[in-house]
Amino acid sequence: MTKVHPHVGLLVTCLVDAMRPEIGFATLKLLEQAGCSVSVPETQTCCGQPALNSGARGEAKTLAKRVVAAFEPFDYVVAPSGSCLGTVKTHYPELLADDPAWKRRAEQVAAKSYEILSFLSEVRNWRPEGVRFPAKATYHHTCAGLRELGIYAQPLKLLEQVDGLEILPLEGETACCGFGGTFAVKYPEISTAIVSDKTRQIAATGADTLLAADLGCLMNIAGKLSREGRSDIRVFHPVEILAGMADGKGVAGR
Amino acid sequence: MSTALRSPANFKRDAAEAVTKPSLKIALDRTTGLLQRRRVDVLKAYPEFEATREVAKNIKDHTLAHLDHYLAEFEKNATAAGAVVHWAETPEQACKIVIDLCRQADAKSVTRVKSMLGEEIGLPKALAAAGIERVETDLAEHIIQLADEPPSHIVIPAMHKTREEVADLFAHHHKEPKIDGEVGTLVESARGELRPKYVAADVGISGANFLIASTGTVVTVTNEGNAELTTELPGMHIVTAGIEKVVPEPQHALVLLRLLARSALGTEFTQYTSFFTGPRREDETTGPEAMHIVLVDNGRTQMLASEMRPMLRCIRCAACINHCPVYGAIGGHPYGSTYPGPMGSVLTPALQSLEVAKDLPHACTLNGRCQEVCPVKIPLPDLIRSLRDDTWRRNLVPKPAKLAVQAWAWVAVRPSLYRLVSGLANYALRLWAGPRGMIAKLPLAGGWTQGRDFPRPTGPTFMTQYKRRQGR
Amino acid sequence: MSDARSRIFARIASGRGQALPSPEAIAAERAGLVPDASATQPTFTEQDTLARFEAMATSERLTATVAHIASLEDVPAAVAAYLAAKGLPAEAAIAPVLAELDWSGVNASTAITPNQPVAVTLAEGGVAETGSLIFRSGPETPMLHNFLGLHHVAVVRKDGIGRYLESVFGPDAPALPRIMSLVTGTSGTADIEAVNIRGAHGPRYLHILMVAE
Ligand code: SF4
Repeated sequence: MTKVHPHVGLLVTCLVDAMRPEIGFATLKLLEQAGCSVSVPETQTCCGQPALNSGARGEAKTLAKRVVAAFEPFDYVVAPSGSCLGTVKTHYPELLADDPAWKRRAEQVAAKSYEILSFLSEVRNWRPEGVRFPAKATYHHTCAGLRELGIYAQPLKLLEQVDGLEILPLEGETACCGFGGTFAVKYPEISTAIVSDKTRQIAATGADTLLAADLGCLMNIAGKLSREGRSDIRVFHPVEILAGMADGKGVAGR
Repeated sequence: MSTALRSPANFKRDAAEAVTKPSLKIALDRTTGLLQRRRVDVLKAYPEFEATREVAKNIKDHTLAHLDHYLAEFEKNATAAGAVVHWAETPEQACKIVIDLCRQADAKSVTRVKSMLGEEIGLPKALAAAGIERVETDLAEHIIQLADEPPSHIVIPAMHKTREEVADLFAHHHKEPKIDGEVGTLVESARGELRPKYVAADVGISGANFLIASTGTVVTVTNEGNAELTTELPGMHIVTAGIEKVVPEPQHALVLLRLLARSALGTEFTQYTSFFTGPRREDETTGPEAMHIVLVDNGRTQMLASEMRPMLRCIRCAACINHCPVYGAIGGHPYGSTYPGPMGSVLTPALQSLEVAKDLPHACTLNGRCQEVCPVKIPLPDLIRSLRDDTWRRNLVPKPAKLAVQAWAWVAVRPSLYRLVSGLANYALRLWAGPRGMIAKLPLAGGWTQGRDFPRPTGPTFMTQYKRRQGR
Repeated sequence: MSDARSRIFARIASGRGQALPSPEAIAAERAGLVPDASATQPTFTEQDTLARFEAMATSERLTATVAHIASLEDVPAAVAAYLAAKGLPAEAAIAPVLAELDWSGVNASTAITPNQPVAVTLAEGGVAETGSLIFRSGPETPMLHNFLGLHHVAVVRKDGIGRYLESVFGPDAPALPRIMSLVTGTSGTADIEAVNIRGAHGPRYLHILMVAE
């Protein structure tokens, strides 16, 4: 798969689709900049993670098969989310393990699936050029990207090359923000307590921008910052910066 | 929270209450933060950690696969050394054996070294019911005994207590309390209080960190030196241990010991590591005349036969607990069990029942940090997921939640319908938000907006906008 | 009781779902569990065994102090010097194994009390990896002497100090005594707010006399 212009299937993810399309369009733009031709399969809905994490294996399996079938034709599958991609890459093969044919198909799709930042940096060797975003930012490493996919240095490497952008160290940068999908709604008190630690640590950096590469986590942190009245901190997905599209409002509405 | 009221069935309520206690938060932050940093530091000087984890995992897996073989070997060698080995299937049986032994020794007072197995089987309560005075010698256990509270952590049972709270307790309960705001002085106060009680005890009860099959040896580790004082002075030493504690040979225990101290407290080695093999020998004039070892099943053989088997590799280091964000927010008590945090969320359903502990596997963000730090590589998130599957299958998930997931999944396999529904939801949210960027109150998502705002969608859905751009 | 045993064993066997392999097969697998112990041992090539032992034992965490003496005969004088330096009376409980020495400068007795200020004992050896002392129980080396003193003076011969923990169980090591304790620094606790404090129950001070001979 060393095509000059690989054909990428974009897994938009249900949250980006419904809540913040900008992240999807930024991803699209970056993929094209990185020399890919991009398709957005129309049959995609959701990767099935909420079902999987609720214990609804049957429902999760049905959705997994649909995603596998929809994305099989492409050279690569790319998503702007570590947790959705982690579901595809690490959980589908295990979820479909009892059906050898499906398991094989799931493994093939898993093998060519990438989270956008690691795809740009590792597979496409892409670097931002002439991108400017003057800010003092800090970076939260989202759990699934970090621990299921091993993404840590890749995003920082890309962001380093953005003009005017300084990344300040964040205490507890790899600690969970307390989102956890449906956890945030099922156990709101705990979830809120965990995210208050995160916002406290973010505020302590003195940064004016928070970056993290998963919309669920971004909504959680932004929601807490907003509730605390921290209107001085803007919240973006890194692809919005890299694509030069972070000129509008951030996730926290500012 | 008194011991009687705790049950994992009250998890939601107790957790919601716990996050409102400022002193708990202070205690947890001070402690888990320090333990995390120490662990990182000690592992910097131990690049062999990863290789050792793999060896440790293999040792435990091998032993578990041949558990009956090794238990028989342990029994044979411990008996040859003069110890008596007892077997208990349930907590009740285990407690009865211990109480009968205490009666046999005509015991009025027993000293105890912290043992989570002892807590698990409810030994403190059983001793009280039998009218036997129990002296907890581990400092943390001493503190919570005075406070009449259950442990909230498996290595530092009084983790939920600040030094100020401990000072209050000692001021009330110690004969000659020493208090001046320093932790060192509090330790001094406890030393003075406990020393005479070691000498007066009739029976010493300990747990075991490892059982060595090839020599019939019980291994304990403490930092305080209380295991040796507890077991050496009285005439009888009783050990209670789970059957999964056995390892084949001393060399295997050494590998696990290297991991245990580093993972638990961020130190190279525990201060006192003792190997007990049988009771007082003929040529000795000190040491207990009798040694009894009570081996407890309590659900372990069932775990062995299930998907939960990897959990039996656990060496009770608490690294998963110290790195768990949920534990860090609520402490150990809401888990309603001897075992809190990630390891507890897997163990408690097995030791009690999934029915009462049905919240525990769900009260987890699946962030994966626990697995990352576990020295014996237990795939805790996978086990937690698997328990969630069980709650779903066995109808232990609340009806509305189950229906919501089912309805949503039903829609998600119908793309055109899904587009319609997500488009409507998107539109409704924007309408509800009006011109504001953030939503402070959201019907049906009260949980979320109780402590956080919810973002307003920035425009129509991606799919809608994308189609428009494609000119369709 | 034996019923409980047989039911536990039956459940283990049925959980395995297949017959237990032969003892030979189990032994073969067991022999390969630690293919290379050195892969699990921390490396300390820059220090020799004795230097590592001393560095570990006197580290900030283990807080022991060390003095070097030429032979066992020098123990009483070294103990007297320690007591004087600490401003303690010239009294100590000593392990019977040390009773043959000339204790004329110290009021030494093999009896020990629960609140013993100073106890002097002989370690069988040590471990450089961890800075541990090895104590074996026996008629001449009662275990309590290592735990009851506020000050513990431990004598160890340099040639008894091995490199790694495995040396304690090497092929030449004697059979296990009733108790063998690896004592690593002083009694400590981290039970209150994880703050490290010395002298929880056992000794608060550990003074190691390393004997050259
Ligand atoms: S599950 Fe792993 S990390 Fe947690 S206590 Fe057990 S051994 Fe330690």
